[in-house]
Amino acid sequence: MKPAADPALRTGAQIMCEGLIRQGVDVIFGIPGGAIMPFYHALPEYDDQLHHVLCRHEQGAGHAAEGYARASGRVGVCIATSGPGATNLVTPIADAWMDSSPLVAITGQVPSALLGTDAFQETDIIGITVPITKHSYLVRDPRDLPRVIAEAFHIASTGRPGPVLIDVTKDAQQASVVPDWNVTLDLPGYSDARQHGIDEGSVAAAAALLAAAERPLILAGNGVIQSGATAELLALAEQTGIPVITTLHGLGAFPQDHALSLGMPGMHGWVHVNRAIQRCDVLLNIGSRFDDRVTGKASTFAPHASVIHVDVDPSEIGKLVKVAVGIAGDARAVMTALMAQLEEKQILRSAQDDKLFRSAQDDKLFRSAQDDKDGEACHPERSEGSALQTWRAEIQELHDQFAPRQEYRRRPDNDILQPHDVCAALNAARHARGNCRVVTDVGQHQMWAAQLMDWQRPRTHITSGGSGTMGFAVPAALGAAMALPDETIWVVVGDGGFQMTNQEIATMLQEGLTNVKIAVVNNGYLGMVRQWQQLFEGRRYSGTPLTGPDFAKLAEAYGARGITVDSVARVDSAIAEAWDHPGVVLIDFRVEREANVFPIVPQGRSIGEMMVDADTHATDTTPALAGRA
Amino acid sequence: MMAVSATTRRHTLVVQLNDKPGALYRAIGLIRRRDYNVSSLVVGATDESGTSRMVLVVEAADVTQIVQQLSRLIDVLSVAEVAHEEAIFNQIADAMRRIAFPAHVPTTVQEIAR
Repeated sequence: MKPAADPALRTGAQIMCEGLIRQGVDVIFGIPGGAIMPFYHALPEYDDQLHHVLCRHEQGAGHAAEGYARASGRVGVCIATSGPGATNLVTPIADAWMDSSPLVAITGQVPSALLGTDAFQETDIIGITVPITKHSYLVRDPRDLPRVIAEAFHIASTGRPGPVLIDVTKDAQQASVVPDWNVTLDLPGYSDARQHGIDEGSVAAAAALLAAAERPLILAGNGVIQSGATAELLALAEQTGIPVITTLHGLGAFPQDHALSLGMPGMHGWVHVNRAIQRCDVLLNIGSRFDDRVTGKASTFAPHASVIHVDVDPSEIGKLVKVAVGIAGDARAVMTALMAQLEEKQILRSAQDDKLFRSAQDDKLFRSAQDDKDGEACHPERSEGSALQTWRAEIQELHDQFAPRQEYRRRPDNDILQPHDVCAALNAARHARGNCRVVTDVGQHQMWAAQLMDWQRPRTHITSGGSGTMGFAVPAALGAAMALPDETIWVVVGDGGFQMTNQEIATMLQEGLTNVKIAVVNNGYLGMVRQWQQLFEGRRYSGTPLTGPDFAKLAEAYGARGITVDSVARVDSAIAEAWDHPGVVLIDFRVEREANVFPIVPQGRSIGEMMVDADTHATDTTPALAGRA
Repeated sequence: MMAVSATTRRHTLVVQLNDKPGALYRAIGLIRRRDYNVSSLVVGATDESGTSRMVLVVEAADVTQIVQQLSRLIDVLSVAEVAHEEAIFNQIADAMRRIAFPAHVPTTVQEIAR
């Protein structure tokens, strides 16, 4: 008689499912295939705990997992088979790497015995993804799965978050073992900055620099959002009175209607922001990595500034910009330590020459007044004409000087729908309705949305930054919508990027999602490239004119609602209709074809040199180069 | 772009890493990414089980970033840049320490070697 099987026996595939559930995962995005079939065979047993979203392309699955992660702050999980399934994940893995999104990608692999033999659908996905993963695992023995899954989630979500790949051979998924869930994380080579103490000496040096600063600035990036440190940033800014700049991925880290908020720097940042950077004497960078889209020509960036760089990843400090003080650590912990230092030294209060104080709400230097919410906080005596006050006045002057030129103005001779109209209307509707996230793709619309909408809360602005992955938005919105079923997810996407991954609308419909609304900013061009061709290459529109299907009909074909808007008058009502419709809606906004994003810093130039001409038709004028700061 | 400058010189890095498949590949990949040339590479087991040591000579203007990025790898336990001569000495010393001396070698000699 055969002995009864050990009830604790599990196949590798079952262990994978249970491992994910133990990590708190409840939704995964993927597509099955030969080498991952055992996993899919096990999946229905765990259906009530682990929901699988069948995407239409693995790239979509990867971006959906990223969107899920970015919206929720939790680890996103995508799954694919070997070979082409795995290689289709490469783009989202690279995207997650560049934007530090916590992602666990699971791929099936050919059976162990066939590894390295060019077996059917065999690809060395670990080899391919080594430069774009934080770590990766090839699992050939199901006994390793509990440890590998626990480590992968730990690595993906701690320190500087990022993608981790788990490649599991088919035989490891099929074999049965008794899993040992008693896993202790043993990663001696993994230094998570959050585990280590913060170097108090560096914090003291930073505090001293800030105390002596006359023209200080804070530059806040994704690290602030990732660390959940928005409250600390607000407190630091308010208690020191230092103005705050937010990078593209920092949008939402600091409320943009705050008196101390300056806006976005860099290639398409505001002129006064870039000028302020070029004139500041201390730049406190918290959780941003001095991307070249922020710095322009790095050697000319912030030439007068002593730079303090706070980053959870020590290898970012000093990588591109020379720092006076580098602090490796989590943004929240460092800001807390910094505030303690400032307070301990009574820098906030003593300030003989009143360099550091909070007074923004009544110094009338900024465009909007902020209510004094916590008046009992330290509020030193201030003298008129303090250094910091003068500095803020100077920035305000720059703002006033350039804002009117940056402000979008309708050409008096036509009423062609402008992309700016779309962003402005969406912004207004968003304020009226609340509870909304915006996912943007890559290109002109991305910059218009970043510039023209205001960002108050973290994780409300989701985009592909470092990697600049066109096709990100629609699938990322799918992931965000799965993570946040009670919020409305607006996609702002160009007609180019939309045509790369719009198949995921089918996935949304299959999932019964109703909370995704898609605004296609349709100008019939790959617009950002066209803009560069116009501005820098004599309007040689090579490879940029773009046709497409009737997007509204396409949406209808998917089973969503489609609306076409080609006049300014219809914008608000279409957005309202989309919002009110209990289902996925696409609005095809047929906008001015040759609208441009301004201001712009030409690539490789100093951010002190900006083209600020906001004329949508640059044929008749040579865009002026503003003088260097 | 940064041109390959005349200031390029040899740097010796001593890297302790997990003795696992793929660990070496990850480490070397970082060097390749920067388009630095590896002029010498020695990898071997150490007396600590599960750990190997890589002595790497790269031609580069500056390896600060490489050192930091190597340290970031999960399979890398430590990284140090050492002076070239010192590295050679250490390798010899390391080799000496490993010599299994036959019994007839006087203990004084063995001690000196160690």
